Amino acid sequence: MRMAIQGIGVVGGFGCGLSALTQALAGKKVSPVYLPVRTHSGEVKLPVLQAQTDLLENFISKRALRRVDHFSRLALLGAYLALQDAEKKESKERIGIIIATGYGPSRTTFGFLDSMLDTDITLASPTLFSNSVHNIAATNIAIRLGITGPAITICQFDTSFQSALITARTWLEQKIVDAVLLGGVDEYCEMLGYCYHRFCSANKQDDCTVIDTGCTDIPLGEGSAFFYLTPEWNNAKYGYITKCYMSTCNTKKKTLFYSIDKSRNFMLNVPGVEKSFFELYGIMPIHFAFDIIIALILLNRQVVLNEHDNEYKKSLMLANQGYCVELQV
Amino acid sequence: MVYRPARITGMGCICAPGINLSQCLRAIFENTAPEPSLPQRFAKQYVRNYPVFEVPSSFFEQNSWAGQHKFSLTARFVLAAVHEALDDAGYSVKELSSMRVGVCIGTTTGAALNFLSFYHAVKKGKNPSLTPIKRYLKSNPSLVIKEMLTLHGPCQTVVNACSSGTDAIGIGLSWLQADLCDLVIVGGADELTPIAYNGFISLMITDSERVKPFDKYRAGLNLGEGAAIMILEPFNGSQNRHGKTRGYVLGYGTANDAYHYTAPHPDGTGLKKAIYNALCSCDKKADDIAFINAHGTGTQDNDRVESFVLRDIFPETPFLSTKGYTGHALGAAGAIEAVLTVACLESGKVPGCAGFNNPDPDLKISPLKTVTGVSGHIAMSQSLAFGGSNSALILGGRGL
Repeated sequence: MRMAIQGIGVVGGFGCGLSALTQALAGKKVSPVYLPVRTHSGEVKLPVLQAQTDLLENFISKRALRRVDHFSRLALLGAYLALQDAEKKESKERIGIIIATGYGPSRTTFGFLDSMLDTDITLASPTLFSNSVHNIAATNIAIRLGITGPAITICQFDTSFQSALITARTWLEQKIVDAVLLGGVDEYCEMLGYCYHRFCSANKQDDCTVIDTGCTDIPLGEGSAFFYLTPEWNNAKYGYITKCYMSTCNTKKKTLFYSIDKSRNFMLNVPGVEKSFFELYGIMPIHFAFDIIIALILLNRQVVLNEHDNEYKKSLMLANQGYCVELQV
Repeated sequence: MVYRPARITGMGCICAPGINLSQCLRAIFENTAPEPSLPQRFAKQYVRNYPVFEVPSSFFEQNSWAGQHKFSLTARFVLAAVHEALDDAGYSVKELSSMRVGVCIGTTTGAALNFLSFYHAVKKGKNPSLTPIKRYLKSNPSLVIKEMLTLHGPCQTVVNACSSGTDAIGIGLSWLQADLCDLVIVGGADELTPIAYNGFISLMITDSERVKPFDKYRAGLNLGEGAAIMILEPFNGSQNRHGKTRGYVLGYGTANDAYHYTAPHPDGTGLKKAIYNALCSCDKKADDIAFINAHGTGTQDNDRVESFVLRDIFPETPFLSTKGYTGHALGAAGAIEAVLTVACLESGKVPGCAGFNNPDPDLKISPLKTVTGVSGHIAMSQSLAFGGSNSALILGGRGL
């Protein structure tokens, strides 16, 4: 069954919303901030594409947001934008929430550790603890939006989003829900920056897999990418996810883009374009969600991705980490 | 939509009562399961006056996975339980390579950034070894199973707080229904950590004595740990190579309260909907349920809401909580309880609700106190979670 993409909400270092990402893709400069990371040998500064969530106040009052953590704010903003974009008609009882994340609410997690380590342990913060659970973003979305369908969170580094797509399709196919609000969310925190710095600078031969793209000059990133999905019989605003499946192909950490007709020969090594758009949103585990949105922008705007195949395409296959996703507009 | 039943062809379980399923059942039914005690593995500065149910030390002496220190303890628990379940089902690892095998595992601490000592050292300006980070990156529960067994099917680590294990089993059922796999390895795993331990204490929902589910004097939960695994195969699959069936996963339902971060909805709206969805998903009625393995954490809020819902939907159905034997194993809890439920259907009896002694007049309903025979072949296991998730599994015995 194809999944119809009815709404998109996206937030990242490039800005907020589909237009901001489209502008970044068209060449608008995206600049990182340099954030301090304390190490045993002094402070270093890491480039980070930080995402701002100020626009969330267009949807929720400042007062209601005062105890909402940054991770949840990223998710809430992505979710609100996707729902607004979709002009949804489904009952809130029949909407499912699926959140994919590489590491969960890392700032709050380490904030809770601070509360354990910096004071008497009897003063560890209950608020930080209850906000450090991985499903906190799904919880906030359910509560703020009144969505009472199923809600799950998936956490498995840089395959979280790909795996989440499979469950989204299953829910729609089996009529467990009428629509799925599917989002990928990751936040930057100093400890992740510290680990990245240690892995990359201390020993280039070491396992450089903390953020899973190798050690480059590309900034670390954070943000959220949301999709409002319905079954195929609805007209799709942006296009369809026609297939998502596991493959034994040895796909890389960067996303591979294949034109769909040639993808039939995928296993015969017909070349695709190994493309990274990390410079637009930064290095983060749920990058594949951003790549899907970028592929939809390219397809809808008739931008030719593959210089060897300069023909306008209506479909693309994206492959990453053993997962394949086919898109059609 | 009505699910086709999934056959449970193998099970494995590690938790406080034992390091395999038969040991767990013997301890539970012979009333030799250990009482909770203060954590033995934590650094002393993190231990407070609240007991837990730890996996027995014999696991570290007898199980070959226990010594694989490159993996987290959660990963070692889950790998041990997976191998027990595969042995039970009669599958070799080699045999799986020719099949479409999915993996869906629930966890909480198993996917959390539990770098307490590492983080402490960094805060103090030291340059600690990256070993804990590497271990974390190798130990995601579903990924480590996929990697160690060289599997190529769908793979998912569900982090839905305390309903994770139940949800993972339900998702596995839906994958079989969608014909995404020939076989799916489902379950949950979690280890006790000083972070979760002190976190729950900070919420003031832990009991300084043994947990007392549904009891008038209940005072909170005891944390537990472990892993439980089911091997699920299609009801009429062509790949049922060994012909063994221990029971069935018949139905699954889940719904969110959309109410509060940590407390269930006082009217149990999400739980009722989850139960309703689970029953509908296998075309069963409340009267079909022989017994219920409740979430029964022993906290005031959980037991009040759960009692209210059970009284409303299942006024005559026997129920218990097994957390008086296992503790609350968080992301593993739903899987441990589902495996114990199927094992009870298989043996035709359920244990008493350990820790329960005094009926609470406010709850107007009481769990089983002693070992009781089961009349019927269908049971329900349910979980409630932080974040308002409610999930229920309908499970069948092999006599179904």
